[in-house]
Amino acid sequence: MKENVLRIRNLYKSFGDLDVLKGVDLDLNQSENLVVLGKSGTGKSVLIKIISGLITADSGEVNVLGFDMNTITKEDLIFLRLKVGFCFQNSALYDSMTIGENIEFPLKYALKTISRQEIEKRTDRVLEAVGLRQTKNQMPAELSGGQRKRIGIARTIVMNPELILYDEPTAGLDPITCVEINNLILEVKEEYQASSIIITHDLTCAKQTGDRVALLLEGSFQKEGTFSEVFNSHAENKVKQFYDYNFMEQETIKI
Amino acid sequence: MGKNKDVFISKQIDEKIVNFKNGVDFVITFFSELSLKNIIWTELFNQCYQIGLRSLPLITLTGFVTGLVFTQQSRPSLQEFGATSWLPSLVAIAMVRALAPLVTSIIAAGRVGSNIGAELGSMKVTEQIAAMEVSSVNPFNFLVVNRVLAATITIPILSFYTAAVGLTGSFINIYLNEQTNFNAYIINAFDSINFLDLGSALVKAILFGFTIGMVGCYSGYNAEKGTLGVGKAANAGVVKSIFIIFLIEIFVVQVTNSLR
Ligand SMILES: Nc1ncnc2c1ncn2[C@@H]1O[C@H](COP(=O)(O)OP(=O)(O)OP(=O)(O)O)[C@@H](O)[C@H]1O
Ligand SMILES: [Mg+2]
Repeated sequence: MKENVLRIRNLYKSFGDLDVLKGVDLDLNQSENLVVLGKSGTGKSVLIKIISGLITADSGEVNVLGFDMNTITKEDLIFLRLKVGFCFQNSALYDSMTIGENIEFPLKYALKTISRQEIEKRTDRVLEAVGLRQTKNQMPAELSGGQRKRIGIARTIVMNPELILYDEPTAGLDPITCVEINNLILEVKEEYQASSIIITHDLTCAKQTGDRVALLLEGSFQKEGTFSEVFNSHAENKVKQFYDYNFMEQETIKI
Repeated sequence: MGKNKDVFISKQIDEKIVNFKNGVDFVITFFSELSLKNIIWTELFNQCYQIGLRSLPLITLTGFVTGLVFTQQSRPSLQEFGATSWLPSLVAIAMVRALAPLVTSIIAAGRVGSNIGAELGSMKVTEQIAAMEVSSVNPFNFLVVNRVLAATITIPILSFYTAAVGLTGSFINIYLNEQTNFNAYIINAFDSINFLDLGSALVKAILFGFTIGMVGCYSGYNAEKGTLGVGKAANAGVVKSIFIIFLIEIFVVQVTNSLR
């Protein structure tokens, strides 16, 4: 049975005079990978920050795993966040801690009852899953951008989240690493049965990882469906433009 | 033009008032989060160690030089009255009542306040604080409560250490000039210090430590976006805490004197 993990209706958010989100509607089904595409600065990060409660909406309904984010209590928010993983655009690894400590951090301080053994076991397992076991005692500064992204993902999945929010998991990475990250996202979906929102402006990532694609343009979702549905030949101008620009860039480079 | 300037100034004043209010809220949050179960002992211990370790070399040097030079410079005035035997008590009073807590705190503000400001500031702008928040760990607890407590505990200890080092410097100077022996020096020095002096020094040092921790954390926690924000936070951590330290000094001196 499919049930809604996430339900957003008529969401508005502005910063001062800047209207960022203007009537966003969004649903996410159980075990679904939804890709949110959009130009830089359209409010993709703002959208998932609202979902995780880092930013509050101006108006509109935001329901995450059955919790209404507008009225959620502090205690419920803490409980909810245990089930919602957030992979930051810049990885946001804790600079002062080793990779191992980074991954242990949420286990150690959010799940206070967990045993030392269990922490070790889960840390090693996710490090294995992202293929970076050897980095356990290194500091984040010693890792490459792609490795940091993978550790960011490891730190998220170590909590066994039901919903994972990826903020531009492939941005700034070379194509080969991008494919690796895309595969990792798919593996995570298989293994943890989690539902995900993947934010990106990388169409290859969208095509590979998304069960469904939604296009955020000028403050609301303009188009939604499978990748080919969204970018079919009858697509409206704005949608086509987005597609063309993206691939044109790649074409130009090929020559 | 004049009108624009007025608007600019009133905007700045508004900003100051908002800042002050936010600062007060920050302190209130600290006390509402402060409870035994929120203290992470390993982190608290680690922070105390960091603060102590970071300030120790400079404090040792400054304390020693202050004691030595202060003694040297006071000698001629006392010699005029043939009262060089009062040197130990003069130095002890100056050290314990004023110099030790003040010197320690100003150095610690430079070393620790800027460090906390920069550390939390960079955590803020690289979203590490947000990352803690979304993983159900209260970043205020983890970062602020432990750092402020650590500063509040460590600065008083360092202050008494500074006093001890300063008195040592002073003793060396007196020993070389007046050949006073150590026992006589100590007796003379401590004779002039009473409980009120020690108590007010302790209260001051606690308040100074609290200020350094709080201002550093507040500056870092509210750092603006970008690397510029980190620099500003570090700077604010020092400048604001030294300013508040002087205000507290003046206030506590008044209160102590009224109790004498
Ligand atoms: N805390 C904030 N305060 C003020 N403005 C903000 C804040 N957060 C985001 N904005 C503004 O909202 C707009 C959308 O930002 P957002 O980070 O969501 O973009 P994005 O779609 O994620 O872009 P990118 O692809 O570059 O990451 C931007 O114009 C940004 O300046
Ligand atoms: Mg973004």
